[in-house]
Order: sequence, then C-alpha cells, then structure tokens
Amino acid sequence: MIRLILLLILFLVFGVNSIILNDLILFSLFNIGFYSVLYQKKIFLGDYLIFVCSCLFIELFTNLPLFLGAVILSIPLLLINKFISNFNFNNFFTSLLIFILSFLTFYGIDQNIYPRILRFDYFIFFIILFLLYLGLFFHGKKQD
Amino acid sequence: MINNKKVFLVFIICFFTFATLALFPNYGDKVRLNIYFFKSNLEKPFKYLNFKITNYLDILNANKNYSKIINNLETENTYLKQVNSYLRLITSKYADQYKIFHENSLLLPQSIGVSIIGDRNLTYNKSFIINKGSNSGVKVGDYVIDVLNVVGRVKSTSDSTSEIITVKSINYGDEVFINSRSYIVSGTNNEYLSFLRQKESMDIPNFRFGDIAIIQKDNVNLILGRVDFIEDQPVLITNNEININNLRVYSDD
Repeated sequence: MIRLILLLILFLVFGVNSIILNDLILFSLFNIGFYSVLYQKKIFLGDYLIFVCSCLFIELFTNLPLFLGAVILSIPLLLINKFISNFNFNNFFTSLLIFILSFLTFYGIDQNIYPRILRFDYFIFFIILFLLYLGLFFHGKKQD
Repeated sequence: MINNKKVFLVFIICFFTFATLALFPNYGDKVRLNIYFFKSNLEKPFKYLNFKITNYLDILNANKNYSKIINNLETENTYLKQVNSYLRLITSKYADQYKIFHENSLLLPQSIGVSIIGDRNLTYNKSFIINKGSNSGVKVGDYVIDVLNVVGRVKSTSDSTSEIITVKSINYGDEVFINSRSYIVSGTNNEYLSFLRQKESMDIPNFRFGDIAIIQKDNVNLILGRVDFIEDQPVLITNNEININNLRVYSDD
C-alpha cells in the first residue's frame, strides 16, 4: 500500500521545473520496482504489478517504448532474486544491491547522471537506501 | 523460478502488449498521450489547491511595496500605450498599402497558447507533451513557438494532448532560408542542428557567422537559429533562452 501511494505521488509530481527532483523521482521509481521483485523469494502478483507500473511510468517519463522494462528486466531480476535468496545476504547488502542496480539502470537511460550526482543536492538519494533497508528489515524476512 | 502462474500470465500479457506497441508505434503514441491526459486531469485538484494556498499566502504577505510597483506599472503602461499608438499608426499605414496591392486586409498569424505536461527540462528526451490537442485545432506538423523562435513541431495529437519534438531532436528536419537561399537542416540530439544539403542546388554554401535561419510561412517568418561553426563545419545554434511558459502552437492553415 505504501508503495502504491508512493507510485501515485511520484507519478503526479514528475514534471516540475527541478531537474534534481525529476532525477530523484525516476530513481525512486527504479528502486520501488526493483525492491518489489527482490524483497522476497516468492513473487506475488501485487508486487509484480507494482514493478510493471513503476517501469511503465519510467518509460512514459523518459520516452522509451512502453512495457520495455517489464519485458527486458523481469528475467534478469528473477535470476538476481534467486541469487539473493540462496545466499541469504544481510539486509544491508540486499538494499545496497538494489540501490546500485537502480543506479546502473538509470545510467542506461541517461549517461549524464554521474556528473550531475556529484552535486551536494543529490545527497538526498541516500535516504532511499535507508528506506530500502527499513523495507527489507520489516518485510523482507518472509522466506517461503 | 516464477512460482506464481498469475505473475507469469502478467509477464506474457506485458510481452505481447510491448510487441504490439513496438510493431504499431502509432498506438504507442496514443496510449502515451492518453496517459498524460489522465495525469493532467489528476493533477488539476492539486494544482487548484496549490494555487489557492499560494494565493492566500501572497495575500498575507502583501506589503507597502505594492503601491510602488503599481506606480511603476502605471508609468510603464503609459509608455506602452504611447508605443502602441505609434505602432498602430505605422501598421494602419502598412495595412492600407497592403489593401491596395492585395485587395484584402492584412492576415494576422493564428496561434494557440499551450503549456507543457510532464518533463519541462527535456533532460531525458528531446520531446514533450502539451495540454492541447486536435479538439483545440492542433494538427500534426504545426510549429510550437516562443515569440518568433521555433521550439519544435507537433509529432502526434490526441483529442486533448499532443506530442512535440524539439528542434534539437534527431527526428526534426525542416527547410530554412539563409540569405534568401533554401537549405535542409536536421536536429542532432545535441545543442545544434546540422545542414544536410542546399535545396535544389549543388553550389557550396557560403555562410557567415551569425546569419539567421528563418522558416518562411504565409503570414510570418519564424526564426530557427543562427549560423555558427564547429570544427569548420557550419551548424545552426538555436536560441537557448526559451520561455517555456509562453509557448504557442502556430498553424499556417
């Protein structure tokens, strides 16, 4: 439910004049999508739909072909999910992995992101890492 | 790996939807425009609330500087009225001359005021969505302008929204006139446009730095950019000081 509300808010807020805020919204959408697929061993329909929705919003905002992310990223993410579940990593490493994966995917869309994030304003990105850790701490232990 | 049949089913649906939209891009554009229309409708109550709150705060913050601003505005208004009367005098004379030669009155260019929905910074792509569509008279190929500077052209329309490709997009191409000669130019996804060829001529173009490239229309001449040189190659540099809150769609019909 929290993710759904966040998705709706991010969908509405995107498009303001601030480049930093738009970057932050896209990065949050990536994180929500990846978290939904990776936070548990078993993937439920609701989680997968959130992943599809977040991918769809990113594609809308970045003018990519619709449903490209849901098709291309699903299988690699399922493999990563298998990898994480089998090794039973610490929550911090899992959240860091989601965070880095999101950055790499973001870089695929916009190669100018790395020069931009050197600005101090982008420090707020690390709140997302903390939120990922909290999400995994409270909901990530349900291994079937 | 996929331990849920419903998830697999959703993946299959996504796959076939993606394939359909990739094979028929026109449908993809329509879906995109309709979602943006839905987004703009969802935003309306929040924008209204924001407007009301901002307005309320502005009223609270009203101070004595307003009287000074009003005085300045009155002075400016008087000056503008003088300029306006002078311009009316000139244009009336021109309109009379136009009537003599053309047997009809001077046609004024028609345009529609628009605003952007979605990304206004054009960070991730070279196109944007506007809040007017075919219901407002926007057609594919119309120009989006800021004063006389061309910002882009309409790529596709729905009833209430349209997609615009900017002049910097690699998909943008147009015929421009420089020193009364016609050239074909194309966007490059960079900050400049490149010259493809001179229209209907094999002569080597002779550009000078700062030459203005114009797009000639029936009622108005639009400005696309100025000639510059990058590594001795002529390019067109567009005006970067575009006011995106003042965009208009210009239709030549």
